[in-house]
Amino acid sequence: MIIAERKPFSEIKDAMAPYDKILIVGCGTCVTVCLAGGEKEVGLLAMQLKLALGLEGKHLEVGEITVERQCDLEFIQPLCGFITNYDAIISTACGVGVQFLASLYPKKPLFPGLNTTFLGVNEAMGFYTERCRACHNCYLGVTGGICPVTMCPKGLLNGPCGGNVQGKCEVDPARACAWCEIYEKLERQGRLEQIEKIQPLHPHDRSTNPGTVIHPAYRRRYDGHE
Amino acid sequence: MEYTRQLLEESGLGEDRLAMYEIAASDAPKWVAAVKEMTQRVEALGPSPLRRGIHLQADALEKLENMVES
Repeated sequence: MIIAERKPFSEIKDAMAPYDKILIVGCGTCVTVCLAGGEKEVGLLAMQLKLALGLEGKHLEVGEITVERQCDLEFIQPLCGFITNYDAIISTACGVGVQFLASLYPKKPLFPGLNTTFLGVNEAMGFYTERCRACHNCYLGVTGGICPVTMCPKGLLNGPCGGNVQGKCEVDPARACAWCEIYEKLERQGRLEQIEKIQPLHPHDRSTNPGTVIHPAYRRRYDGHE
Repeated sequence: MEYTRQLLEESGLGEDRLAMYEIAASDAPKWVAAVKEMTQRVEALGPSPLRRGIHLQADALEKLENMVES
């Protein structure tokens, strides 16, 4: 899932200075799980803004709503009806949701409430670690389920850099070297010969532009042939 | 608890207005000490800044006492 953290409160508060009536739109999927932008966090942010601006003698009217997913048109389109009643919007979705909402309501000032950090896993309550860089070319089948692009700070595809010390990474000695872990994993599975095959250059050209994926079943529809 | 204190501090109300004590049901002296500490702290901090300019009506205390007695 997508992991995000709330922006510093002062940054959000400063952005709201010119407005009297704002709407905070939460997202009920990834950012709810990582405790950053769900219904509860929307309520906390609304309360904080009202308290902080109240201390400055300003009355801020804050509306709150949390949709299932801000990256899905069917969930944000119903907001059309009442979003016009507000001076500005804060979205506590990931960057994807913020941009989608902003494109749907181009005349309304929209501010992100979160900093989107990475694609990761929920290791334990409140503890998230990165696992995927969405690099367009997955190597996990040949690296024993450990991603060299994400877990190796240098993103090396053909073995370790030579800087590791006793299986620890030279960039961050507190972490295990990703390639040592890949080697041990494949050794346990008896398929070490897999990493003897040289991986070609990573297709960076595929990630230099905003990506587009069209499911094969929908190609005719979106290629304009239908 | 720490997070809530942080939210209060960010809002400008101050983190010292909120505290949590762990006290066993049988530990009366610790309870008394905690109440005294919190009372002193609140007195030092003064009323909530959000209530600035709002004062109790003259007869409010008397009304409250009557309510308690009844």
